[in-house]
Amino acid sequence: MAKVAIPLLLIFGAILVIRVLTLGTPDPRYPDQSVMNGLAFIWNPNLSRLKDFSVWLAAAGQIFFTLSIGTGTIQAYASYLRKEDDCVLTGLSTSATNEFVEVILGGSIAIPISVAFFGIATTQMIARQGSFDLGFVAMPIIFQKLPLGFLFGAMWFLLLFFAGITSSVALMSPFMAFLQDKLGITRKKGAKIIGAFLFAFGLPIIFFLNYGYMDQYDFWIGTVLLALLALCETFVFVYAFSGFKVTAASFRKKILAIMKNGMKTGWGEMNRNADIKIPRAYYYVLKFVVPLYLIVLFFGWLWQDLSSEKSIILMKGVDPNHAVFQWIARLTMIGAILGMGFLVRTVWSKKR
Amino acid sequence: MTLGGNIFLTLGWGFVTILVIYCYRNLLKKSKH
Repeated sequence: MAKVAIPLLLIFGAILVIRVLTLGTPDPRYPDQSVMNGLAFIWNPNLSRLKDFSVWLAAAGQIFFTLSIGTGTIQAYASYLRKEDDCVLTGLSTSATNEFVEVILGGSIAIPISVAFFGIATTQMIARQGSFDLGFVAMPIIFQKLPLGFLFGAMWFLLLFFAGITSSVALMSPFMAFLQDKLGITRKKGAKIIGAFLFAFGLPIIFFLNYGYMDQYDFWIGTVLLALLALCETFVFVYAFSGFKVTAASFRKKILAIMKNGMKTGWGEMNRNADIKIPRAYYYVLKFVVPLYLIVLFFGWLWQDLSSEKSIILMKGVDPNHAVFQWIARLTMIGAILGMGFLVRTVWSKKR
Repeated sequence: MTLGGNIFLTLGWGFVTILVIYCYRNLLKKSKH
């Protein structure tokens, strides 16, 4: 499936980018509404926003999502690598391809075309209404205004479909691996269980879309938990990976030994068979900067949000009718996390 | 677009493009061995 879908996604993406970049100013009566201004909207730096922790958190969430780090997908895929495979080159190629599709192709389609047809203010308003509206509501309206719009519209939705379906398979691969490897369930049966699970959790997202149900999932799972899980993964990789092997006289000595040598196993595994050696500076970046950065980021955001008038955590300013559905979304997320935690705990205690 | 925007766009697109070419050249080389 991916062998056909990914090349098609790239081709459709390239065609759409060429179409968008050659649009110029579609309506001469509104010279401000141009593709160039759309690109400017994305790329002009606004340094004042750097003081806002939520911007940093959104950026961290974005990168951990797109590189599949905070979701466990990359770990599930990495487990299929052979010992002689080159981790560095594979990892770098994956992230480079992803950034190419996202930054160059993705960044040159939706927002520039929306600014060209609706202007910056309306585009911002559409984007603020939720993650769904720009891609699924605004884009079809724009395509209707273009010659051969039905063709470009079909390409756009096929592109989204391919991106969505391949991402869904990738996102579910850790769950599938868990069902197969740890619970001994066959792949066919596992697929049915996951399908039922997705169906049950997916339907309310569609039914209660207008109540901000999906935005809750998008924010908590797609941003906050991604950064938190990435922090846990960093600790596991940097400190616990070789920590299990460390023997020391006391707990304190063990912790000190892990702090000192913890990273060596991971670093050695990463660089084995690698043509491109990772610069030594990244050893220290991974060991100290990343954990510290994520901790500061998380607590900084928590403090800034809780003291804000528009607190997302406390749902300030949310319509009470919407808040009920958003609380249900939160509770289902907590339920799913607890359920999975329980499954992992059961498997772990059986192993012991 | 401001000067900053132009710089970011050029660096962003340029860096990603060079990285993709570099990676796939290496992958191609590796697959030939």
